[in-house]
Amino acid sequence: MKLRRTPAPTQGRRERRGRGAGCGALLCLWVATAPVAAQQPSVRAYLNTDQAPVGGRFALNVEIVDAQRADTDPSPPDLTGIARFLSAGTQTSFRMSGGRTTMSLTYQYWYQALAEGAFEIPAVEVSVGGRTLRTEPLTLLVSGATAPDVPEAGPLGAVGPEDFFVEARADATQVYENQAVMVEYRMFARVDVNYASITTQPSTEGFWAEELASGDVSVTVRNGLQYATRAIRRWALFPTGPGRRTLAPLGVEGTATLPRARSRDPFADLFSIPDLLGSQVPVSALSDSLAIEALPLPSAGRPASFGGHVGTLEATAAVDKNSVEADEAVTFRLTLSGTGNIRSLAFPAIDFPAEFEVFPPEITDDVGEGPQGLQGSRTYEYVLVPRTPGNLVLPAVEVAYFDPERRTYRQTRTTPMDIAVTAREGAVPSTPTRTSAAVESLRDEIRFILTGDPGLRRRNRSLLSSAPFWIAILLPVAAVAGAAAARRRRERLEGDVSYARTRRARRVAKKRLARARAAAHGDSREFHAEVGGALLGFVADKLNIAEAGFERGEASCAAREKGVRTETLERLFACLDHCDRERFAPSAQSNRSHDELLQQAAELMNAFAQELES
Amino acid sequence: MRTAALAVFGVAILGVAASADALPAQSEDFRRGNALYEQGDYEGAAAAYSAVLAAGFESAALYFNLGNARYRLGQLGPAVLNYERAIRIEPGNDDVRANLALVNGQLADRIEPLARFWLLQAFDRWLALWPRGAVERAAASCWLLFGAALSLRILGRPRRGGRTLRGIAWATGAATIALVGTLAAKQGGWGRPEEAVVMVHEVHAVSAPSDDGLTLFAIHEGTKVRIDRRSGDWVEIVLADGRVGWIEAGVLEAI
Repeated sequence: MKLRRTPAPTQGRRERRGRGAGCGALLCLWVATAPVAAQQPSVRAYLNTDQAPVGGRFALNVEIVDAQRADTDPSPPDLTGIARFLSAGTQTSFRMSGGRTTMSLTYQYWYQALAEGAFEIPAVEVSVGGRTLRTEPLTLLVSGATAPDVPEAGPLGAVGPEDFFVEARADATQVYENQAVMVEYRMFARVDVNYASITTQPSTEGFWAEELASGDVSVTVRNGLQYATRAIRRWALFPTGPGRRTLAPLGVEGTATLPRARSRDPFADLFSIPDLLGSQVPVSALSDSLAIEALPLPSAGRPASFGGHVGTLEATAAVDKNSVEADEAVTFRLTLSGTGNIRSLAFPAIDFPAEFEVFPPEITDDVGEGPQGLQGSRTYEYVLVPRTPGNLVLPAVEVAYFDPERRTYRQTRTTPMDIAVTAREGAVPSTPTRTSAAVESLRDEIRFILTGDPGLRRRNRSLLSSAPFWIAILLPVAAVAGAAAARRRRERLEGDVSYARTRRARRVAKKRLARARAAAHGDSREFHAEVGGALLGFVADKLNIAEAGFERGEASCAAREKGVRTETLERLFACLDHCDRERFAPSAQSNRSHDELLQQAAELMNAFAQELES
Repeated sequence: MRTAALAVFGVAILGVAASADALPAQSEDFRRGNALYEQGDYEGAAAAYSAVLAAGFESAALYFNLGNARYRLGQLGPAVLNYERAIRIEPGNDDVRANLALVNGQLADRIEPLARFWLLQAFDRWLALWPRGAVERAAASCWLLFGAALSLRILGRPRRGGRTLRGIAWATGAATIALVGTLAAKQGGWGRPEEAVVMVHEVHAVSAPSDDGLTLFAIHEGTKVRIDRRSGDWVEIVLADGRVGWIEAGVLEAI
């Protein structure tokens, strides 16, 4: 509870004479200039009356003397079972006596006595200037007599609890879960309230709350008194589950203007300017708390289509057309209307035929306050597209609810509807198409091991140690080198006659010797002519001299120069002579066989060639 | 000359034959590991795969399967290590990449990598494009073709296909250089940083290579780090998001 501190010297003047001993201050306007003596603060508590009737009001005052403020506002004593807390207020006053100014701060708590008997009001703790002070306990006598109807004005001349209060009202305190409870907080005022605002508001936890419009100000008569009244907070509450819930009190604070009261002190008005206009006083009030008990819904006889709605319900269904072409949209409208918590209606289960493609519905609510509390309707608008022609039936929709008045489950159902679907012009009749959807991964898992050829290789294997690598490296090098050599030789053969003859000599000679061997068993002259020609041609080629007109002297000079031994030359010439002889004057018995001659010719050529090259 | 060439050739053949000799035994180990894995004996499978590695052989499939076995045994660090090694050999292998991504998603550390310079990225992609064996074969083919084209060009008569041969020789020569460079980068790891995987549950990276260093951050098993420097038993690591710290080398296993 938040208290408003009011430095209100004028209020002190409004108190009745003879009441509130601590407040009977002589008030002067110049007190502000007087020094305030520095004294240890003290605290005391007193009641405005020692006796109160049951239902009557009394005020507990806690006065702090010689202090301008308390460290924290003291909390009013808990008088549960004795009295009901009504309101609180503060007052500051100055008092001069013997040239010393005393300042006091008074907290005032208003209670309504509830039970008869003598009670002790416990001590109140006040924290002032870092010290904690305690008041003395007080005794209150509550008599059985009923309270007088006419309320008393507050001891401070302020607004009494009868003049300004908030009443909490619920239309039922025991309901079923999800059944509506209409809760209203109504402010009553017998004074001119300038403004009032809600300072504490009960939490609606445990309820589905629908706030309703607050009412206008009206005038009502209560206990013979006329009040201005206004609903300041209204709710339709739906308990979300069974159990007992308490709505905390709702607190209101504001200011009120009190009409100017004529004082008996003729001088007072001279100095009291605010009194000319009426004075502003703070007002505050706290409602009672409300307990609401929610009963669980019976489980017996609960239909399958029950979605939790409590109240009444009526289902109606309609389509915008009963005959369409395939692939043409039909609008299906399901309306659920009734009382109760329409906004939290469960989604109705509708079993549309598979021939329809169904789009998610558009939902429209129309909820308001009616004579039976919260009522309204909810409309589900489905767009249906029939994909295949035929006579299709939209099934009945069944919705169950709990009727709290009859205390039974009830059902409401729509009527089935026929829709004639004709084939579309030019359309190919088709089976219902299956729409493709993304493949959904159910879990992540590593891929399976590789089972094929592992392709193992030696680790850290250097290419330099691999034979194929060297073969691959060297092969082209060798090929290029070979090609270069071959080309060089070819070019030399083409350009250098003597070189060409030298290189050719053995081949030509071998050919002639072969021819001679062929003639060995035939004509002896021809044989010797071939052998001799081969030898002579070989020597001429090797020495690069003309074969025709071969001069032995010239040839032997050239041969000797190139390193051929004289002995070889002599044997060569001897062999040539022998051939010439056998060719032109063959002897009957030759001491040499043809094979020996061929062998000798080959040896001579080899020896000649070797000596020539060395 | 001829004898020397023959000797070289003979030694080469013998070398190839010797290296091929060891393979059947290791392949058998590999298959045994696969069979154990399929039976759910991941411990046994890992041991069989490790035996192949211990014999000095490796392959992307071997590392991949070993990584799978380690993952099944709940050893995320060794799993990441083996997948990373498989990727080094066969960067384009989808299976390896998928499993590595999955395991990385289960690691304690989630690190947002910094963007790389595009040229390096392109180079990485080029390296990843070809398996090592393919590059080797391509390089060898180009080199042989180059040799053949050059030889024919030398032997051939001018004005008889000389221009074509010269073109072929140029192209294959250039291709050989590029492929040999790629191969060297792949094989020798040129331009590839030294990387390692954390093998302990948690390790704190400190600001200096000593026990007195201030703790900078903590990394967990399976996180891949780059090694920049070494100082005694300590290594300076760099995370993918650029954070730098020192940890003891013993908690890491090089990829």
